[in-house]
Amino acid sequence: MVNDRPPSDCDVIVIGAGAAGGIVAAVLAEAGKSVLLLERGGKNDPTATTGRDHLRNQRLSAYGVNAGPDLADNPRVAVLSDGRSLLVRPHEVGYQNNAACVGGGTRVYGGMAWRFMPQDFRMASIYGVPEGSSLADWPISYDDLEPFYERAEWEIGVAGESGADRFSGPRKKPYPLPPVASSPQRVVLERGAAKLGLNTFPAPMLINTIPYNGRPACGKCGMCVGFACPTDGKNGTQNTMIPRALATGRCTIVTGAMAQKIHTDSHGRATSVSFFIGDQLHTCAARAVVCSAGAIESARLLLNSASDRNPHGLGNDFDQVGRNLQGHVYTGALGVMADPVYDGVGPGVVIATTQFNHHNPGIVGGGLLANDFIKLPIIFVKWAMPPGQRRWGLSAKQYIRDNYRRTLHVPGPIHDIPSPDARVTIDPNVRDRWQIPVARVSGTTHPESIRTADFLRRKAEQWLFASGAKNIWSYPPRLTLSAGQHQAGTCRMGTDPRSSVTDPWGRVHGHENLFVMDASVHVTNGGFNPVLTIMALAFRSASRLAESM
Amino acid sequence: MDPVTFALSDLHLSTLRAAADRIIPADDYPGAADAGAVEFILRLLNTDLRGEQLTYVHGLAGIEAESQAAYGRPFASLPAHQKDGLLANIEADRVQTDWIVSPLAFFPMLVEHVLESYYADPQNGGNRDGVSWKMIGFRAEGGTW
Repeated sequence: MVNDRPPSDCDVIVIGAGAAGGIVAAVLAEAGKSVLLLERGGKNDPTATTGRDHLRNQRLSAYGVNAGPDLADNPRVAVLSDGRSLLVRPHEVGYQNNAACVGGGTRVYGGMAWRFMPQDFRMASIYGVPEGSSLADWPISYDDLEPFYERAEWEIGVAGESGADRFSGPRKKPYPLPPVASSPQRVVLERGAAKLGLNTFPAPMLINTIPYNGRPACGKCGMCVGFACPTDGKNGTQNTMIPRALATGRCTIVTGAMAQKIHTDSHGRATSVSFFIGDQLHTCAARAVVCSAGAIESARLLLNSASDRNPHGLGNDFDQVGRNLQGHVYTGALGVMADPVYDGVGPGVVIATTQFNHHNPGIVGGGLLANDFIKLPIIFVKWAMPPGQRRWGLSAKQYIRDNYRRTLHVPGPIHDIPSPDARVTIDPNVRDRWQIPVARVSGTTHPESIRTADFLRRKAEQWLFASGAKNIWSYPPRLTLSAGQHQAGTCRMGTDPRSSVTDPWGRVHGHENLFVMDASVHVTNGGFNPVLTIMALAFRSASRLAESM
Repeated sequence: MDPVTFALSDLHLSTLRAAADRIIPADDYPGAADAGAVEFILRLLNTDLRGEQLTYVHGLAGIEAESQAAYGRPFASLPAHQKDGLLANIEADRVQTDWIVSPLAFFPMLVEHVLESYYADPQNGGNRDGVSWKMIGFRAEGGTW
């Protein structure tokens, strides 16, 4: 690592060392290219802890965050539904944070490892386009991506039960690792599923259920989602692909590196990237540049890299960069079982169904349902007490004591219906610590998403009821901006430059050596955690780039 | 960190301890005050929540004013059921004295902070020896007690 004297020239600069960037850097470096991997977050140590603070982590960021970005240096502006603009810091509501560290969200996620379904790539063809939405088909199919889902599953490491998901797309190779073990939660939910005729199976996870890739099996602790793994049994790009990239000797990673601008020439070719380390500005020239900074930051960088040729931002001649910001509206239900169902075995997600992802009468799309990760006690207190339950006094203390181990939560992400007005723009007034104009996030998901979320929460309630839960409750979904940890969509791929930002290989329209390889390119975001799709697309796009150079 | 440390008066410290012990009372497990609620809250008010220092000063003063108005005695000296009654009134915005901050702005925040102190990790200043985790059955390393 050469933080004080980074290289001034290389083949490819990759901006962002997260789910996609780590893979892109490794594929290119292993193909013989010299790579500069820039990461605005901190140290590159795959085993570095993110602390154990139950109030400052990626799942509950009450007073701070544990995986970046720095609270003071990186403001954004969030536009509320009443039109007011709020200056927000990473841990505050409206910021839409994911992470800024080596590995990105994959260092601290829970690691659900879903392939999208074939239908997810053809949402407009199947359902039509709800008025006012930007629902569209992808320019690629599940079959195009299948070999790269397989690569991601084997090279990062996914544990699952092959063939058990009746609704999934076809696969050629099984999962490399055996599925997570059953638990009392799976037993009761299986019983309920059987009554309802639901197809259920162990949720696939990006964890080592057995030792793999030179690292131990998951230690099954109670603090998985939101924290770095204390035993390095959770698989992210920081402990798989990034070490491989560095091992080639052709990849340099620079941490604490904030990209300022992508410089382009009069033909729109990217020539170099300027970036800050501390307050020192550096520049590195390259043959190609890849944005892997996440849906909000990649769009922000393209918009902030305007030139004489592209006065509205790179790839933005048709005002598409930053639009269609989406994530996953989460829904679900909770219920209390007569007997404890908690065994403290982490990560905690043991059963899922994709029965409701598609072909629900009168509903556009749908989403998956699975039981939740182990909840930290304070998270249980904040988010899993029934409405109307008193929160103070002896009865509240007794409620928590009696029901922490009896409460079942079945949440799930719906397939967001995107809106072109949910978007990232550049704030005209606010700048960050480096004087770079900040991202302004505005708009909401399309109202059709709320119908889908409401439908899915009823299904969750039914499942809990059939499983024997008493006192079942859920919350009606509200129309808000959906982005956050699953943020996607801001540089959607497509064949028509007037309605997309990149081609099917992530190349930005109008810029022959500039690419986006992260969730920004997702046309739609599936009714699934998006990370395995991000990884598969990164393998696919980076392989193509390596071949073409 | 600021060189000037925010501190509560002795009276307000006793008000806070007493209120915390009604928000999470002792049973066969410690109450919130014994588990470190005051330490947790003071640390928060000196770091991430400096902006709420005055809310606490005025809120605790409000609790004392209600106690004096109803019983002519400091809050900490009241029997438990009287403390609970006053706190329930404050929670419902049914106060007899003039408050500088809204009870509705202060009380839910106080409850939330006491809950955080009790159920979050001991490094935050509360949940001494992880008592709440033993009570509910959570183990950071996984499994149950």
